[in-house]
This record gives sequence, structure tokens and C-alpha cells, in this order.
Amino acid sequence: MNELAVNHTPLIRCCDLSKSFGAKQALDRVELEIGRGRIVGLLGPNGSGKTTLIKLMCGLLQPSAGFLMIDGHEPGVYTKSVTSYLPDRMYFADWMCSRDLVDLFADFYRDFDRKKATEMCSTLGIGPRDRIKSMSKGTKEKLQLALAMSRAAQLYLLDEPIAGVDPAARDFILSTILTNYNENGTVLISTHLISDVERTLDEAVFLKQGHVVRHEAVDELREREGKSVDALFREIFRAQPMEGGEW
Amino acid sequence: MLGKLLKYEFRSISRQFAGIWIAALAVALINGILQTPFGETDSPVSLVMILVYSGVMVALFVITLIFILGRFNSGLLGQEGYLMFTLPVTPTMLVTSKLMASIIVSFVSCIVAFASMILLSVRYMNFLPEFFSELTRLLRTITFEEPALWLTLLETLVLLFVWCAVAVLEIYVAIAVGHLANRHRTALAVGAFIVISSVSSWLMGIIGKAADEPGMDNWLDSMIAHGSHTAATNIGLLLMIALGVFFAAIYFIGTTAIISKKLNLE
Repeated sequence: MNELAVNHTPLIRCCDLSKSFGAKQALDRVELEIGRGRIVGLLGPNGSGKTTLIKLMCGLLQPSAGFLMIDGHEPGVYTKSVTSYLPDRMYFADWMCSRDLVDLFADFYRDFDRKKATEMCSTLGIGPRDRIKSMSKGTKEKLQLALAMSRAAQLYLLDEPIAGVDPAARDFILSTILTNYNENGTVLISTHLISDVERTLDEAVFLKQGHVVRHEAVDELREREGKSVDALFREIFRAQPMEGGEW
Repeated sequence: MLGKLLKYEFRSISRQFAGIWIAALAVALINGILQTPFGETDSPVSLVMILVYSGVMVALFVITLIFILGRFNSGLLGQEGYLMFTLPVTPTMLVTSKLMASIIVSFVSCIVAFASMILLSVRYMNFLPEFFSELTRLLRTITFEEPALWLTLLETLVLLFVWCAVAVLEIYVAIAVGHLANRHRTALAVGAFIVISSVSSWLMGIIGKAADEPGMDNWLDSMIAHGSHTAATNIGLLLMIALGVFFAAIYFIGTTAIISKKLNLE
């Protein structure tokens, strides 16, 4: 029988995953499984542990307890080869020009599409010899996005890709993600700007003070709760002002 | 993958150092051409050029030191770390590539400084043909009469390489120890460097005393008495290399262990 090989193991598996920084508990016994071919929103307010969870998936942090598997492997050389990461900050070296970065990605990632990256840079008005040092913050962000989305990765980890940009740039970023990701892969987008990404999501993971408080398919969630993900987010994370308490 | 990492290290070196290396040689050459013989009054131009040359030499030293610190501190543990640590390579490869880059820059900077000193005396280079003929004669003598000296030369080069690596890795391991703190990382790194340097000096003292023991002395004396000066030198160099490898291995293992297990990019 001519059968297509389908991988049923979860792409991301977190088991009892905890991370603390000194006395501060950033993630507390997180249990999470995410499959393949999904667009997942990692939703939570600032300080809820979104970036910590993404950094653990990238291997930029080590867990304090529990474990984490990407495509059946602990974070390491293999998982880095199938994961495309867009951090929430710039990672460029001052001496580089845009061609250096494209060369670097082409050298290290087998799934990198140089032609696609070059076309995206050209659309953004970035020339191959343009120095990173002389680019504006917005252009640098777009260059990083173009590089991340020029890979046919199994997993895209996009940390706050639309934070701190104007609505027009948000649309550009989201459409770049949606038109360029590998459809067999999973996209994990962390954000607290729910209304902008809601329409693109298949699943939503709500993270509150280091705990996963909800993980559901977006359609089911809307149907059951009778409200948008954005409205639910506001309900779950509504601040309780002037509650008092110990300092 | 190490080769690919080194490719980008070399690109970085060429962009950051080409200017200062060329400037050092060019300023030295101009100085050499303008210079008057010793004892005679220098012209204001040549005095200014000597000041410029001194400035370039200081800049070369400072930039080399900043490069060694920066390749590890900013290149791995700063924002660039977000790129480097998400490449599909091991931390060992990353540290090795930064170490190799630092050693190469140190060596080339030293060679440039030495070459610039030769260029300073460019007007008095009539000694050069004689110098090269003497050098050729010396090399021929070594090859045919004392070939073991080639081994000594090779060992000297390895010794320089190994102890350069020790110096660089001592800085790296101190920065890595500083990285263990959540705050005041620079202060902790400086403190760690002072402690590590003191401990390694103390250990070197102990090893030096052990080497000064009568048994060791007698053994080397007997070798020299039997006309084996070169053999005694070679053994001494090999021992110094082994000691350097020992320190380098400890620092390297410490550095990679910290960045593998305790990496915490801000």
C-alpha cells in the first residue's frame, strides 16, 4: 500500500516544565502539547512567561525542572536546525551587511530559501550591500522577519512580532508570516495584541503568571464561550486595581 | 560547521582590522621615510608623525583587546547570542570559533606591530641583503648540522599559540562566571578574573618549585653535561606546552559547561 508517512508525535511537548530566575518563578509546571501544521497564539500579558517559554524551546535557556521536546528531541543541534526563531530584539553584528546575513542563513540552515530571502529584501528596499548599522529599527525588524520566514522550518517561534509597530506595519508583518510559512510546520506567535492575530490562529494558549490556564482550538473556544478570543483574554487577564495587599 | 563559523569570524576580522593594520603599516612607512638619523634635530612633521604612529600602536593594542573581549561578551552573551545560539552548532564549536578568531587577531596584530617597527627604519635598510644572507646561512646550518633546532622552533611556536589560548580562555571563563549572576555581571566577571589569575599564578608557583627539585635539576644538568642542550630545551618547552594545555583545557571546559548549562541571555 502506498501510504503517506504521517508523523503523529506532537511537535512540541512540555512536561512539568518549570523555569525560575533566582526567587522568581517564570514558568511553573507547564504541561503543553502542540501538533503540526497549526498556527498557535501564545497569549498572555507582559511577564506571563511567553518569552521564557519560547527561549526554552530555542535552547537559549535551560529548564529548572521538567523537560521539553521539539519533534521528539531535547533542544539542541537538531531542534535548532528545524526551528526558525524571530526574537523580540535585534541580533545583528554591526560589521554585517544584509548579504552577510543571507549568506550566513544559507550556510547554516538547509531549509533556507536564498531566492525568497533576496526577493523579500528587494521588496523591502534592502540592498545586498546595505550596512545593518545604517538601517532604521523598522527596517532591521523587517529584515529579521524576512530571514526567519525564508526558511521552510518545522517550527516558527515568533516572539512578539507585532509589538511596538504601527497598524500598517502589523498588517505587513502578519501577511508576510501567513504567505511565507511552511504549511506543514507550526507557527507559534507570542503576543498580547490579540485582536490583530485572532483571525489567523488555529489554537490559543493562555499563559498567566507562568501557568498554562487554557489551551484550545480557537473555533471551539469561540463557539463554547460565545465571545471572541480577544474578549476572553480581557476577561481572564483583567487587572484588579486597588486591591491592596502586602508590599 | 566549525569551518563555516570561522568563515564569518574571518569576515568580521577583515572588516574590523583591515583599516587599523593598513594604517599601522602606512604610518610606520611614512615615519621611516621622514625620519632623520639619531642625534639630529627632527622636523616638526616627523615629530607629529611619531606621535601619530604611537597613537596608532596604542589603538591597535586597545582594539585587539576590545575584539577579544567583544567576540565572546557581545558576540555570544550579548544580543548577537540570539543569532549564534540558535544556529545548529554546539556551544563547543561556538567557543572554539571565538577562541581561534582571538588568537589569530592577536598573532596578526603582533606581526603587524613588528613589521611596522622594521618599516620605521626603511631609510637604513641597506643592511637587509646582509641580514637575509645571514638568515639563509643560519637556516642551512640548522638543517644540516642541528636539525633538532627545527623541533625547538616548532615547539616555540606551539608554546606561543597555547599560552595565547590560555590568556584568551582565562578572560572567557571569567566572563562566563560573571554570566552566572542575574545582576552586576561585569563586576562579577572582573572579580572572577582576579581570583582565577591569582589561583593560576599560585599553581604556577607550586609547579615551578616542583620543577626546581634536585632530581629534576640533576636530570637536566646531566643532559646538558652530555652535550644535549637542544634535547634539554625541547623537554623544557614540551613541559611548558603541557602545562599550558592543562590550563587551557580547564578554562575551556569551564566556559563551555557554563554556556551549555547556565546560558541566560537577557
